[in-house]
Amino acid sequence: MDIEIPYNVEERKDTGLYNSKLGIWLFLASEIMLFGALFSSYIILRSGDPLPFLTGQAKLNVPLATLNTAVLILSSVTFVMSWVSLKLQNFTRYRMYMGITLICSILFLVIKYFEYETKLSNGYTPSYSNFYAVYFTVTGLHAIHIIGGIFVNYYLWKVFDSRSQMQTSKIFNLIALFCLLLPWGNGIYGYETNIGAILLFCCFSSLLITQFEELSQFKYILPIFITIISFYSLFTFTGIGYYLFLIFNSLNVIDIFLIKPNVTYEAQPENFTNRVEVAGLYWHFVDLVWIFVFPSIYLL
Amino acid sequence: MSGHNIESHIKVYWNVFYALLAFTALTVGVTYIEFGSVFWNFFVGLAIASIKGYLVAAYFMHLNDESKTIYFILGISVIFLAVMMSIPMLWRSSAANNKENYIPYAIEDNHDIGGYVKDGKSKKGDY
Repeated sequence: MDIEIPYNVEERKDTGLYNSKLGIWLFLASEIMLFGALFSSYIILRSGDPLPFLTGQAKLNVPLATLNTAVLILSSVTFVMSWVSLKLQNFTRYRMYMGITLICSILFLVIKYFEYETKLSNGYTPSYSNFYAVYFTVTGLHAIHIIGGIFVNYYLWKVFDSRSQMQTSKIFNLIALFCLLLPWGNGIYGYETNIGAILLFCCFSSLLITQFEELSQFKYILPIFITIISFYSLFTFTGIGYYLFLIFNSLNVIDIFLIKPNVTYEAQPENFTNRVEVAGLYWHFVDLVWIFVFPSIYLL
Repeated sequence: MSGHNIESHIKVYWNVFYALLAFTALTVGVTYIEFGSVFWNFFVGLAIASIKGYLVAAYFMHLNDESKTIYFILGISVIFLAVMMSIPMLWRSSAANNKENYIPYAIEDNHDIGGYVKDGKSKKGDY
């Protein structure tokens, strides 16, 4: 059964837009209010008691955050370049620019990890002071937006044509297993308090098995199971290996469950280009939020 | 859009990228300068952020050439954002006028004892 979604490509007369663009702008308007609420609570907490903000800000790593800003701006410009390349029908460039965007966004999270790790291992948890509560809430929410953007961008990078839709889950499994060798750290709550940690280690052994045997049903259920448990044990581990494992396992889940390539460039070029544009609007918005977060949290 | 039009866009996008990098460096550099008061430090910092935000919104998000519907949606959300941002200010000034409602201001009066209220007294009229 094929149902044509109206106004997916052509413009609606009354709005002058195709529908997904209107939708993403409504979503972004609600996002403005979400981050606005956090900023207004930042103002109210800081004007009430500025001292923890001044002392807390002195401990932040400004060079690392500046590097992060540059990385995010670069990912933003490569995204818009990938959209332009698609408009000019230069497909290798599209894949290249989208790949750079993906690498930059994962790099952003890795840098963010090193930033968080220093804070958490020195005891600066969100409950330490008002400043760290604001810091972790705002930058953490922004990082969650980055993760969401990675999923969407990865989807667009992969579901481009039928040739690039080879199953890569095995590769992601291998990378996730490689992440076991990286340091996992000891979280702020410790191993013994979290059942999720034990379950996670049970999953590792199963993951190892799927590398050697084709257990069809198991293979489909396992990644999503691991993802749920991974998020559950978010505070049990603070090492880089754990976070990379989380990212690559989540990409694995997208690969298996979400990539049902109904809209490829081959089949519906206009529709696909619009999807890239809409995803780009979201990505630029995330960049825009960081542009305001960076000076107000780190510098001023 | 014609091919030529997009070709000219590519140059604009890269120029915006360089401008954003330059403004990022400027934002960091400006923090080493004291502008006299906290207000002016914030003003300069947020003004540079606004310029960067404008560049991203206008060129990357194509807001300089968009349909009226989007301006309408964004206009409404900006108005409500302004309302939400001004609520803390209103609350603060009313609290300053009526000190009994706002404990930190009351505690400032007791700064000679380290900002703490003596003997845990917290009922009205103590400070």
